[in-house]
Amino acid sequence: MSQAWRFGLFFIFFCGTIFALGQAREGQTASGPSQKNAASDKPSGTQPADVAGDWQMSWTGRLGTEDCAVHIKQDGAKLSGTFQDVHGLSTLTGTVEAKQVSFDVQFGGPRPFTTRFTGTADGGKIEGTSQAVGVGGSGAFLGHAGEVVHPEHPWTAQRVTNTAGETASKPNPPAKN
Amino acid sequence: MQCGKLYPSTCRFVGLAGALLSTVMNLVAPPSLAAETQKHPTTATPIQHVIVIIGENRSFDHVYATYKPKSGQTVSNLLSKGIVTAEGKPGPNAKLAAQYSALDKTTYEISPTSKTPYTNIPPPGTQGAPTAPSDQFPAPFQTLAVAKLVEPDLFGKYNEYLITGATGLPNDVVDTRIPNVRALGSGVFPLTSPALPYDNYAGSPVHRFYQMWQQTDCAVRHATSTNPSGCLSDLFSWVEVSIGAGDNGNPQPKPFTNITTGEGSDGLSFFNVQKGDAPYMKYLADNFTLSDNMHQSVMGGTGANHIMFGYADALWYSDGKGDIKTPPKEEIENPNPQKGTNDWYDQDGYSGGSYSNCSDSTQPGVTAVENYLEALSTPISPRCATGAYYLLNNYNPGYLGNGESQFKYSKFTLPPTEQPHIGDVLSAAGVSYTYFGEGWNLYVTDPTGTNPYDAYCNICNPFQYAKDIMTNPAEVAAHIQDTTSLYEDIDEGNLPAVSIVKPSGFVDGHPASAKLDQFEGFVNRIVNQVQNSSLWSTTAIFITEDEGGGFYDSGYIQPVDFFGDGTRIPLLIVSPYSTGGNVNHSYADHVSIIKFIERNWGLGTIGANTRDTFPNPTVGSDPYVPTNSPALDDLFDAFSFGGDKN
Repeated sequence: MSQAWRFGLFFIFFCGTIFALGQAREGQTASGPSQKNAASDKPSGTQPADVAGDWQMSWTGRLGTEDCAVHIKQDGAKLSGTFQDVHGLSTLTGTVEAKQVSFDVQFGGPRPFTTRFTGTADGGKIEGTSQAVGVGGSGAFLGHAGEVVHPEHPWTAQRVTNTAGETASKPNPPAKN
Repeated sequence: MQCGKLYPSTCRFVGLAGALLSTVMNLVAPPSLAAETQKHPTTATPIQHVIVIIGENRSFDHVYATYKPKSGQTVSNLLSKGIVTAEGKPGPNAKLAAQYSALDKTTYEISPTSKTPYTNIPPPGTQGAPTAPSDQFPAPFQTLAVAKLVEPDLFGKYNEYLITGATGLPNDVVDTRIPNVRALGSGVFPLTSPALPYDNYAGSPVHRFYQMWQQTDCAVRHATSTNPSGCLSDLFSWVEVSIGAGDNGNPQPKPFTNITTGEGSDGLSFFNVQKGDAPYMKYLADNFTLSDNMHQSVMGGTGANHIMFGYADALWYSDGKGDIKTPPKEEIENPNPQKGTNDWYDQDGYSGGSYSNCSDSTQPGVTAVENYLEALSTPISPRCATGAYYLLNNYNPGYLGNGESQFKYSKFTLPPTEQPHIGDVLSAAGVSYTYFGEGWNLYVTDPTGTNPYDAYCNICNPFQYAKDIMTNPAEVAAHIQDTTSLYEDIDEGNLPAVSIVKPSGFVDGHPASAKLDQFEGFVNRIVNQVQNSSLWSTTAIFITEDEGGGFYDSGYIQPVDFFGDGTRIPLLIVSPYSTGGNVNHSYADHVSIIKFIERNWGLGTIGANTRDTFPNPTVGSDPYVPTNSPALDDLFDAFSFGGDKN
């Protein structure tokens, strides 16, 4: 094989690799490294869990844990609703595949931002972590290197009422940090 | 016009005339007009404005390791001691910084007797330094536009440092960007190289209270005439790899190696100003005054050191009504090693043990420190109130920005304090003051820190712990503001007499979450703005760090009480009266700046037993070692108010 052919094959391989890496990276920046886009309604082979209704959430940030009220409407795998917390009333959109819940909340205020909540539904409880996205390339600041309590910003939600407005039996109080 | 450089005498006259005019105007102006201007009662010097800028986590030798002062000046650093060469290579006295491993398997010791020298220090780790600009772990940011939006306080080329410098490596692994990382020798090593330029994120070494007492390895048996406190600073690596930043009471992970804590020997790195590192820090040292004997006032981290700055004392756990109370058991420090481990603390961490009752020698960890203090040739009082559990490490202040209780969102919170602070002293004398915390305005709307733009440092604001400030909205408005107000005040020539300035976490220079070049940019903006304002002739800017961040330092450490001092940190004094590239050797810590303020405005001390009551040092043949410990300089001798060289 001539030197030119070797170079040509190498060039094709190199470009292909760069293209593949670029595709992977684009996927990460659009929707996070290990989750599908929260707004996607791609059908799943498994019946989505019923998460519609009212939930009381405990959400931990860099400086503490707050209680939030979450109202979820469900249309198959699609989620919409509202999110009430210290930042005010915000809108919620997302998906549920089997037990895997993912929704984005768009917060307003002087510096608007979007946070993605991902978690696993199990009966009257959803547990997961959150990460800010959608501010053009930044996520939540962790501060002081590793000197933070919960860098994964965990959250836990307890069902308060279901779709029919029925109160859940014995809801646990939200977790405190 | 930078008049202080060209016409200092004229400027001094203008400054004094301005002060006189200001006083007269205050007397004759209607009350409403006078109330709109900041109060500046008579001062002992031409300095009518003090600005204190506090960065994060760099020791003196870490920054100024190879600094060479101008002819006629001397400096104490790695280069002058022969520990390194100007090239950053091991010098003839490299062994002075040699590190040891140790054994501590039963009861916490600050100076374990069983030590073994490292042939090569454990390889440094990446710890929490960011892997890449990404959606998940800022900073660095992906685009300059976003960087400018998130961090508005930088300018020019400094903005670019917000999008560069990611490691390309995972967290908590050996930092293979460092050449010969597994064969660095027994002591300090240059952090930067052609393969790892200055503008890069790197790991953050441990700098908690009991860890730092061990890192500095202080014992009377080590004491000499030139080092009467006997601190050897030879256990930095060992503490990093044995316990790191604490365990929150959890068992030691298995397997446990020299990189399990994520750090390795991060604390042994230094920058090389001879090769272009820290260029603005060098510029300021070359042109103004550098202290080479300034210290972090508390062994430990950010919160405790900012508290000591504000209160000249440590704060204790209370019932929120001014009385001493015992904190929950899991929040009390226990640095005794867990069974079967070597120095893996029983209970210590940012969501674990952080308080100690240092009036009780039976409390875990306390005996080791107090036995040492009592054994010194001049015994040192621990200065601990009976029964009080003092906060030694980072916990949230008692109040949110809106004055509500922080306990609403986090139990890792120091209850509101009624202990007196420097603000009380200033207010009583009618001297204006403001804490300018970058990001304050946003933080008030984001108390749990979930907004990604919010990098305000709540533990850094000493007044956010104080009941008398935070329960009075008028006091909050008067004394806590965003840095946007600082820039406006400078432009308008209406700066408070005392300004305490804190950058956001994006630019504070804290390793892993920020870089020193970003802090240089933050400082540069303020210095330039003041120099080009009407305030320059009457202003002194003190630029320092909260602590050494767990980075090795070779300087003398004076024990002054149970809480510290700790390692040396940089202090630059920028004013028309501290020009010329002098190096000040007077022994100082954060409280020295408080002492300067008190003397300049003729104020009393914060309390009857607070650190600002300590005398100025007297020294013998060694200018670095006070002979009247505990002693802290008030830094007046860092200025020249009457000579021609101003």
